[in-house]
Amino acid sequence: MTVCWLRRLRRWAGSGLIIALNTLATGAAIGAEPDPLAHRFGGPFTLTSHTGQPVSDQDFRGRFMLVYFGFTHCPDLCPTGLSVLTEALEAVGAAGDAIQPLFITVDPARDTPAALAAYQKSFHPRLVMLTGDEPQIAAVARAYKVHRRKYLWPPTAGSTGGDYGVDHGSLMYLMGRDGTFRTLIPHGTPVDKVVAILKRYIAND
Amino acid sequence: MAKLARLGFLTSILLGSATASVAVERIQVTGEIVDTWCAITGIMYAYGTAHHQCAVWCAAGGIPVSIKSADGTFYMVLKIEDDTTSVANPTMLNVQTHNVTVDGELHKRDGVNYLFVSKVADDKGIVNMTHDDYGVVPFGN
Repeated sequence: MTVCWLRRLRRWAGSGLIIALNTLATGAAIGAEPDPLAHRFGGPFTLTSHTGQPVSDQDFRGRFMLVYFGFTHCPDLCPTGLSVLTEALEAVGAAGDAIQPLFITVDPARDTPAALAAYQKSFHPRLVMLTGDEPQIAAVARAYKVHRRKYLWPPTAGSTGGDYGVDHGSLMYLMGRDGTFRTLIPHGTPVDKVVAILKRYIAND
Repeated sequence: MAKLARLGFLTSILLGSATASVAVERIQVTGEIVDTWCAITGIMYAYGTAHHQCAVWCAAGGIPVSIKSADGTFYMVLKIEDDTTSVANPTMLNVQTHNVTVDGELHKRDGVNYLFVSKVADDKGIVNMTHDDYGVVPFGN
């Protein structure tokens, strides 16, 4: 009986009925609606990787993007955030290959590809670190609604002054295989919880 | 095997993506604006005037603030009124530690309550005077 029903269904597929069924089932029939946050964070970008290659968001279609904004001179948030990201991806294991971790600098003046390449060695081997010119970085930060503000460090004995830090947003963004937003991972989320979140999205998306 | 694949396909049609349906709720929340990082992790006492200085630094540094309601629920603020530029708008530090009532959209996701504030309906200022009991946390007097 089931086989007979499946044969009929296969014939209907050509008529577009499957598409209609899918729309009905994922929409009004079970009360599901499109994710209202899907397009609130993220957007297209073209940047330069730590290996000096041009990189676009389109390069990662079919994979999740786990996006973190920061800078290599960051004294606290970035080293801890990237360590959590690294540990979580290692714990997810082979399934984690579906996720492309990305670090986008908020400090393009100092974070050249060479600087990023040196920093990258401390974290996950698949982590791609991205930089660009100021308008490119400003655009991608705006798309992800990432706050960034440069501030001067007080001069210290022996320094020439002018050293600075950059306040920046601390959230990780998980983007789906289609490039649209899925969820946020706030700073301070324990590794085991990050692992659970990543596994769930890999399994369901 | 082919049958199983077809059944899997049907199941996906009927159930849709498990992550596609995300409810939005309009709510009003009253509570203290707190330093999310310190309050959630519990790494130090993180409420009222005792923690105000540290909380301002966290907000300026990019940690989104939260509102802790009277029942202990945390709501992480991702947007404030007409701002569209920042998930962790540091202008929130101007109302850090205040007791506020806000209207907004609640998005529950992965165990976190994210709040998009459309309006600050009331601001009573700083009312939780904890510094007499706790000093200045974390740096002391």
